[in-house]
Amino acid sequence: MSGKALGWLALALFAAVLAAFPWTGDLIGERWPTSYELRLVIRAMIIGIVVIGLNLLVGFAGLVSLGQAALYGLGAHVAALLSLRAGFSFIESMAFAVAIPAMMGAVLAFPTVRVRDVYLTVITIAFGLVFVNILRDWVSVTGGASGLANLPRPTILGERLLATRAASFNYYYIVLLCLLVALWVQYAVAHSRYGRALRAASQSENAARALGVNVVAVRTLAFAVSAGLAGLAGGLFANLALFVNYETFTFTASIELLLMVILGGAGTMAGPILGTGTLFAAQQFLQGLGEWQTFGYGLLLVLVLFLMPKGIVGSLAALRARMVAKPEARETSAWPNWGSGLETITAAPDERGQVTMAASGLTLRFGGLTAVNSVAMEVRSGTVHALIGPNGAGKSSLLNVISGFYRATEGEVRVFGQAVANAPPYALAKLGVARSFQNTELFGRMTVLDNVLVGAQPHFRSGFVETILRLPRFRREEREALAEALRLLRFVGLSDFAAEEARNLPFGHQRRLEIARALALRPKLLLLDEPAAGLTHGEIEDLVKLIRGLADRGMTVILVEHHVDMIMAVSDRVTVLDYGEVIADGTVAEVQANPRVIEAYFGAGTGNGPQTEQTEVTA
Amino acid sequence: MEAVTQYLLTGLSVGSVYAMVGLGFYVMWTAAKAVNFNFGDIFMLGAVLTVVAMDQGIPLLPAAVLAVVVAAIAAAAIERGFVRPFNQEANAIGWMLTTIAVGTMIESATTALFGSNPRGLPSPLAESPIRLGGAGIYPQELLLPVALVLVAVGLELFYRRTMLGRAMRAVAWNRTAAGLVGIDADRITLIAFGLAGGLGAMAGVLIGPVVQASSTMGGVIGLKGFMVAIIAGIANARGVVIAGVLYGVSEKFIEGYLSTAARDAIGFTLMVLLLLLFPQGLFGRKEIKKV
Repeated sequence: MSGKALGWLALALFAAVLAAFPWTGDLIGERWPTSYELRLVIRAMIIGIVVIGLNLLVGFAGLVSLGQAALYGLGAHVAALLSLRAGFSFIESMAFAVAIPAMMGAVLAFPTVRVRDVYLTVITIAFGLVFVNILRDWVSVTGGASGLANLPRPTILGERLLATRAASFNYYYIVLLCLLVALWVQYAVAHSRYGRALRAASQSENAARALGVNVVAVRTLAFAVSAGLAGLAGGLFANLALFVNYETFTFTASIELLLMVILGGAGTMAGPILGTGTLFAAQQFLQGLGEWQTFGYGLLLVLVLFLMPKGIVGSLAALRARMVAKPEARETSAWPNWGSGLETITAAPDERGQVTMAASGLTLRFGGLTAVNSVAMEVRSGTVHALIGPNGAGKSSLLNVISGFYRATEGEVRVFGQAVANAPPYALAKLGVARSFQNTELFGRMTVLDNVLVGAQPHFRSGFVETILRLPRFRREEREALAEALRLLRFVGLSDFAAEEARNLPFGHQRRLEIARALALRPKLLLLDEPAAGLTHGEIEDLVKLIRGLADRGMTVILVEHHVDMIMAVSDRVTVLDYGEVIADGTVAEVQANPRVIEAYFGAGTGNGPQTEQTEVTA
Repeated sequence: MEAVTQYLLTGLSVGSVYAMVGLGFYVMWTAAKAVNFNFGDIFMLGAVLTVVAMDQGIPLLPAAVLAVVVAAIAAAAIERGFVRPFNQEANAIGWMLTTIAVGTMIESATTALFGSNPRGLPSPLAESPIRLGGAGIYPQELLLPVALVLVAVGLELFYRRTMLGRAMRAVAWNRTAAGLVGIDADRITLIAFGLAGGLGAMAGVLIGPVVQASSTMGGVIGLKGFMVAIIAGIANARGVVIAGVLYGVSEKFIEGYLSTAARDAIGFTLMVLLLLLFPQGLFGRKEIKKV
């Protein structure tokens, strides 16, 4: 049975067992579960919802929140205050219990994730402390230590919501429904462009940005969703206990939540459920530790991190993979393989004869060092334009300015006729500029197929809600992206490796994958930064065919390269840089004959002294 | 006017603590691009261990020195045992989790063993306040800014003039290249964490007589020290000193003119707003991420 089918089966079983649980007594003829056990399970389900939200952060986005208990508490207090003081109905107060923490999450995430992920953790700790302080000290609103008690019992359409037999356990089922919804949200986010973008950004932020991922936006969204789920759980908790005070939402509670995520298996679908369940069971024991209880949480977290860093689910999955996996023969196919269906990649090139990229007066300084010095160059559409020069000439820096990674100190860059001087990389990617990196930057822990799918990100029109609800447009776009990604893998001869983690590929294959991933953007302008470095002679010949083939189909290619043979074979035009300045520009033959170029590469000729007299570019 | 002097002086004193803790974060971050997240517990150990040592009949000064040394060793041990193994690849987050877990353990073990009640750390400089420009202050509190200046100058000299300090800067700049010229980057990082631990513990010992020693004294101060370092732009020592002192002083003014309850809420909100306006920190330069 496939892992996926197994997963759905386990979920169905899990839901069925939980649905039947309140009625177990009828089956065994005893008064069981008692209301104590029933409430314990409800509380576990509620905490499970928070843990699912935290898993989205820790497991997918690679962000750590230690204020999750406070966001949970915020939801609880919003729901409590609105129903107690403003007379809001259950549904109304729950809506705010989700929305306000979600907004709070966005407010905390935006300023921090754009600088450094670590900062988010610091800010969330601070938020948690301040939140508890406010609850404790603002007695007139929150009741201080005595909290908010005697909340009105929630009702829907006049029906009182209770976890008792008389009410058919209706509140129990509402909580169960919310838990299943949370699991769905987790699944839907993880298996979509959002989940791929989050994982990509946590593994190589640069590559993600180059592929059109707005890293700050997608991380802020992830934190908002995670905070919204915490708030939902908080609202459910308030309406169950009908009492809230700050003691439930302290820093220790946040550590507990984190422990549940790691214990279950961060980044797995079932991890949050197993982590929450296991820790709830263990809590009966941990509570006996008295003042050493917090110590126990810390110790458990350390032990799990050292002994079982993938958590319960991750470890089981690894075990299963080892037992099930049979080594199959995988073949690397010839590339480039121009099969059918690849037309989409080059379907809308920049118009023939246009200036696809123009730089004028472009200067880039790092402190006192001028890496690029008032460079002017033009790249015509559908050509392969090589950018060469000795080491340190400023080629890669120029490429980084064009792709938006560096901001030019002075001067202008126009791409497809638009001035793009300050556009961020993801915006340029959406315009149709793709790039590869000098040191390949793959998403190492994602599959080869998922790597390419990240590149398809900008073609999606369906938004977050459509994605979560799996509406038709999302399904169609996902299907198309998958088909195109598979075609691209065939194109570079890696079809057999689709399910392999990218970091396991040999170096040459990694280069191929990086190009396939860049092509998934369907770029009009492709920037290749030393794509031949480290490749064998045969692989370079294949690469030449690929680049030529792309240009013949209308794509514009800017190529930074050192392999002279390759440049001669593939380039329509060459620009030579030395010390950040353009010293020559022309066809391959022209540049080859240019004495300044020869001087830059080999030093001044002997006998004649400095050859400054011969520096004119031969036309 | 007297109130203003009072806020300025006590603010200067508590701000010096934030700055010293912030410098600890600066030293760790510079060496490892990772920190001990629960660094506040090292700060706490400084004060608590001094009290414990004095319980054994050791006089104040040797007890303080002993406490700082033990705390520094603990800080270095945390680097070796919990940061290094979890900071092996770029974008690793394991070290955050492990150091938080260890910090939790240290704090709760201290609560269990030392007791949950704060205990006084007797110091001759904290027996009776002196009057200064109409404000009352313990001489002990005036010791803190003096210590901060000494620490900041000492750190600067250490980084510029000593072999070890230069090696630390080399590791900060480029770990691989430092390794290629024969610097043992791992050892340097270990020493950096120990040095940071010593700084933090010293701050704890110095403020101990004013605030009393307790297992929970480090949590919030550690967090504020971290945030001060972030706001300053974490790779700028002078910025950390300035930001720490400024934050301490503004806290006292908020306390004085609004309320103690509002202090942290306003303080942290202010920090988030500053980060929004200055993503690289007040004194930080935009980092050039090599692509």
